[in-house]
Amino acid sequence: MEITIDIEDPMPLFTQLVEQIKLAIVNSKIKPGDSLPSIRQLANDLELNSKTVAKAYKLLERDLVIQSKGYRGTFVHPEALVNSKMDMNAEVLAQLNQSISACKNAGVTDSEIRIAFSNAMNSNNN
Amino acid sequence: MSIHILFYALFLSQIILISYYYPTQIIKRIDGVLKKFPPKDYPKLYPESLDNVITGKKRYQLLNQIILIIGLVLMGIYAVMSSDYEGNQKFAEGLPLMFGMIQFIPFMLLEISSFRQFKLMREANKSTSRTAGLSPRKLFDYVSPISVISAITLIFAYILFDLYIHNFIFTIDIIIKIITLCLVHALFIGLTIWQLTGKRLDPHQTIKDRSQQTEFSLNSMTSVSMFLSIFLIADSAVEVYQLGYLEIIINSIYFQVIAFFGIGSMLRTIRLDNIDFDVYKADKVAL
Repeated sequence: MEITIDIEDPMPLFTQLVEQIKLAIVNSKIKPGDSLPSIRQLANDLELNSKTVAKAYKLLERDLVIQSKGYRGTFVHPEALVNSKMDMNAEVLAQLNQSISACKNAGVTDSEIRIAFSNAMNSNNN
Repeated sequence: MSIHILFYALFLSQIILISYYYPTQIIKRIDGVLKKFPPKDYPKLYPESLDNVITGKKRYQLLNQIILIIGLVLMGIYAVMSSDYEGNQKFAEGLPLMFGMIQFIPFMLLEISSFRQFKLMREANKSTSRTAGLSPRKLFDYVSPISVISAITLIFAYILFDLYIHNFIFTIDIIIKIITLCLVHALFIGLTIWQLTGKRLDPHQTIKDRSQQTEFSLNSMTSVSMFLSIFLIADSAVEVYQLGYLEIIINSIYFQVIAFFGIGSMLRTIRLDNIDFDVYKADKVAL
């Protein structure tokens, strides 16, 4: 199974990597329990920085698409097929839309929402 | 007398095998690639001009021919000196070893030249897409566990054997041999890690071809490691059991086996028919 990324594509490299791995799972090219290459191997094969691959793996691990088993390596998560089909971006967008609508209904202006969003993102908790 | 005849036969075989047979095979391979995959149809395979490739090939051929002649001259000198074998023992023992090292120079230069070619290929590669496999490359996918265990066992067998015959006293000679063995194996371990997780030299190489290359390299290193330990055991045995007359023969066999497992297995394993040369064709331009 091969994955291909385009370094000139406007989509960030780690996102391309996440999408490609999810696609491979959805298309049954890799199955739950299959081992994945190490960060170093994948970074060198794709001529990417290790941090980019590490970031993609971290996101996939958060979404329960892959799981890290210490020195044994990284494996496809048992629930990967279901979790790969879930669109996190759509989820986030729905949540934000809901919050923004609530704010607007309460009379909060667009600029106030932007400032509040920016403050929330920059706060220590986020 | 019989030992001289055996040595002539082995040294002649060393000269012919390393400085004639394998170089001829490599030249044939280069000619085969030039004929079957010309620069016109496979431009990505030639980051340099065809003239440079042909000059490099001729230089390699000439260097091997010079070494071949030197080998034959050295054999003649040995024949003259062998009448006084005792007096010239050091020269005789060192002959296959020193000459063997010289014989490998053209192969090292060829290797350096291929590194340069790959660097030029990477610089010329304008493709923005990068491909990788989703399978991890693990040591035992390429080399059998039995071979690796045998190689490790032989290292310890050599160290124990050498210590045993020297009454478990760490002499300078043993320490130097152990350090050399450790350095060689540290290099092998480094090369193994690089083969398994490192960057590919050829930017166009397919995953299948890389896998084939990795398999050859790892098996070759395992074989060389095993034979190196066996050679050191034999070398120590010769020294202790006063079989000095055999050393010259062991040294010659050593280089021939190294060449067999290195160059020979490369020619046998990585066959041109199995390499995907389509990746070196020019990119299709959209109309």
